[in-house]
Amino acid sequence: MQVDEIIEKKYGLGLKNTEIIKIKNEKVRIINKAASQLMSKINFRIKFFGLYLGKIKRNRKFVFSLFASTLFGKYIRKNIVEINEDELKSWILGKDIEKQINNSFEDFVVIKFKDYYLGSGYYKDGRIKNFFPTSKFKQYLNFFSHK
Amino acid sequence: MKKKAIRINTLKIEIDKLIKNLEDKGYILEKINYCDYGFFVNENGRNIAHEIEHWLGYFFIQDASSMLIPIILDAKKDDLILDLCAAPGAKTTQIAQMMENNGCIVANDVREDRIKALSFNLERCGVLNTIVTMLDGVKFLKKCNIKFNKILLDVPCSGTGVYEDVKITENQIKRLTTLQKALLKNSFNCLDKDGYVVYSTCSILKEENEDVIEYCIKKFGLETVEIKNFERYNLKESFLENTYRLEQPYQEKFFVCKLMK
Repeated sequence: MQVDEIIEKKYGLGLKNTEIIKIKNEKVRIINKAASQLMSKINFRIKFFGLYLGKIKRNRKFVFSLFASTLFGKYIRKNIVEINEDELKSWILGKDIEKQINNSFEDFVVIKFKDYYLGSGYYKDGRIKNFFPTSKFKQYLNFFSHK
Repeated sequence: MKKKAIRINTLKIEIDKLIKNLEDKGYILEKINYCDYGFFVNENGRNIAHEIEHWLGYFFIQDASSMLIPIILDAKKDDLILDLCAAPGAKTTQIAQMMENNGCIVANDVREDRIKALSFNLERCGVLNTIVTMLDGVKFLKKCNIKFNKILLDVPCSGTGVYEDVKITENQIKRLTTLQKALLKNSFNCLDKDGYVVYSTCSILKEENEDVIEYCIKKFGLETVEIKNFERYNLKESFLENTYRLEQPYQEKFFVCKLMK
């Protein structure tokens, strides 16, 4: 199964007019078709392209990156978990969240707070394991003190 | 005193939704007259840079003058655009937003640390249509095998329109203007027929602005193009025809000119 098919099946998200490119260590990047076609023509070395979409995991699972979740979140139809403000504080600090969804469900989910999407977690047995990239956002962790 | 401004990232969120969320937190937003998604911000004792919406890329802190340059470039969905001196990416991400992540942008800059900042901002803003290269600008323009229909030359400059106490020597100005002229001259190697270049600086110095344009008109047969309804953008026409300055007291000072061959 191709990555875009996994994403459509798991998250109900169709990625039209884009190309998904595997890089290393299960990671994939996404770029639009026009830019992808240009990449093959331009005569310079490319340092960076498109957006880091996420990682392909075994058993046909896919985990979105933080910024990909913020871009595509509003189009995702399945595997979304909404959190409240207390849970948001825990999430940004890198803590797992206790939350009952469905006893038989086990998979990656996208986290949502109000209109915002906050990356991915792994839900199993009433607990969402945190994949939020806390270390990248250390400088912003005092944001709660500014409320 | 300069007014802080933000650009709402319409790739990720609707303007009304974000305005409501920020106003609920106590921010006062005032729309910039020439930009539907640009707002001056009264922070009311808070710091908008620390808000969750900022670091998730739902808005970009960007001077109102800077927002004007991509608007003058008039980026459209199917364009092929070169942003030659792109870092750190405020204008690049705005161009991508205007294109709705369609078409293609090639964003270039010269140094690794600048490319890092540019790449992070492209990621943060959810940009899908941009390719980043790292080359000396003049080398890029001389060797590139692609023709673009629009080129943004937001050239390295003295920054005297941003930093009021910048001290700059005559030698430094000479080095900068030599580079600026070379970039402008060579940009037409990469321009499609009927394409145009937007040249901009955040300098108040005539040597980096009107003198560079006048030199390139006389030496290389370039033509400036009128920016229609320029008053709407708070621009004032300069002494050289079809060149413009933005000199509002609460914004960074810019120079802008559109050129064709």
